[in-house]
Amino acid sequence: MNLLADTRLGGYLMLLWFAGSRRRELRRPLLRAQLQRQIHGAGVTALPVIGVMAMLTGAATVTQLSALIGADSDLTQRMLFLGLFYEMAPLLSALVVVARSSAGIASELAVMHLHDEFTALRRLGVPAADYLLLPRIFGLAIALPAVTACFQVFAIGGSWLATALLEGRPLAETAGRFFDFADPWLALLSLVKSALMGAAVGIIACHHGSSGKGSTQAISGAAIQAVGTGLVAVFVVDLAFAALVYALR
Amino acid sequence: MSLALHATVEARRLSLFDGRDPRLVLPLDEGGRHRLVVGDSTVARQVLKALERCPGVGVLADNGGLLGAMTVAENFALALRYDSDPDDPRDWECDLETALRLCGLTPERIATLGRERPMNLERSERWTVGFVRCLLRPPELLVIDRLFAGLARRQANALIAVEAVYHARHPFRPVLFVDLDSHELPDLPDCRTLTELTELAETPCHC
Repeated sequence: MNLLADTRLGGYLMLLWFAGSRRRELRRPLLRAQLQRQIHGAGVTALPVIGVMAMLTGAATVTQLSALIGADSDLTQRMLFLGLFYEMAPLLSALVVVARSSAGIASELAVMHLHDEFTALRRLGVPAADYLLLPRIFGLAIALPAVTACFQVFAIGGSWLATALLEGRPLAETAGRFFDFADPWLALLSLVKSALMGAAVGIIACHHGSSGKGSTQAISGAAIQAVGTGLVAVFVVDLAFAALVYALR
Repeated sequence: MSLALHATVEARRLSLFDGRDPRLVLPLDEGGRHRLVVGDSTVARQVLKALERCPGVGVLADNGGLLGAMTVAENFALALRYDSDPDDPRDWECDLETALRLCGLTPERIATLGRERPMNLERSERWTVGFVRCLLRPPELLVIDRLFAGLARRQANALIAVEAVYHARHPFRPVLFVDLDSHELPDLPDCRTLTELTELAETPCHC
């Protein structure tokens, strides 16, 4: 057990267990305020980037598919839903959040560790792990599905606009054809996948930010490790869900 | 040097042991100032680590123990409201303003202090903010960590005068000054005990 705890994976699992067992602490008003701040930082402030990226991705995808398969094809609509809505939206949203928030969280915690602020919090009578880690982990787990939902809306909206412009077809007709192939369970599953990706990214960033050696080099090291491992975790979760869907079909 | 220091609280007395030998015994219900002089920073850190494990012991660092990412007002809110009852009718803002005034801050300074980041404050001001926090939520034993290191005598005396507010407000709560052994150590008025960690013996204070 101790050997596992000493490994990086063991550290992540312990943090996962900690977050699960202490989640009720988020009812405290000050922790809830921290949680809202994290959701705002990871989610709301990412929306302009996500919006532009999603519109462009949607437009580019539908243009390519129309050129290769034809805008009328059922396959185009199926690929829009499965490829863009279900697969790419959670993945690209997670990549944006990893790039923006994971490094930020890890380096912020590493700076606090360097300045001995974990001890300062303990001396204030505030459990440092509850106050610093819980809102960050749950903040990402809540923000990422919201960001993904926005990505999906903007991307599909972008694809409809592009179809309307390219083919001169009414928006309602394009939307209707898309909804014929949309599966609400898969849409829900994509948000669950995003939540798990957010939790994984949060746990990894918090682990690397809070377990450094307390030196200036550790700050950049924590950010690099959080981003690198966070990216791997995102793809692992994505693959796990792809395997789950394959198994269920 | 490796010290196996540990502290216990029994029958309203805090004892700091090195192995089996008690090095420091403090009554927790008599108030007053006490001083513990240690040889170096390593020993000081170990002493603080041992003391912090005891329930009811609060440590005030020389930088006030403030969080750099928050404003002074947020630091106060966190310290005063984290574990407090939401239905507690106590008016923290009024108490806070009174405490800051008692510690020598002018009304103009108090009006702007809340928005400042700790890193923008002078060292003595940072310490005063941390001290006010302890004044409003006093621990059973307040340990003041190496307050005088690097301070001029005039600055040290000013902070000792501020610290007197604590005894006036909480006469039965003791304060332990942990200081590094130095020839420039200022005298503590009405210091009840002086303990030197290297000598083991507790001697009456003549400071």
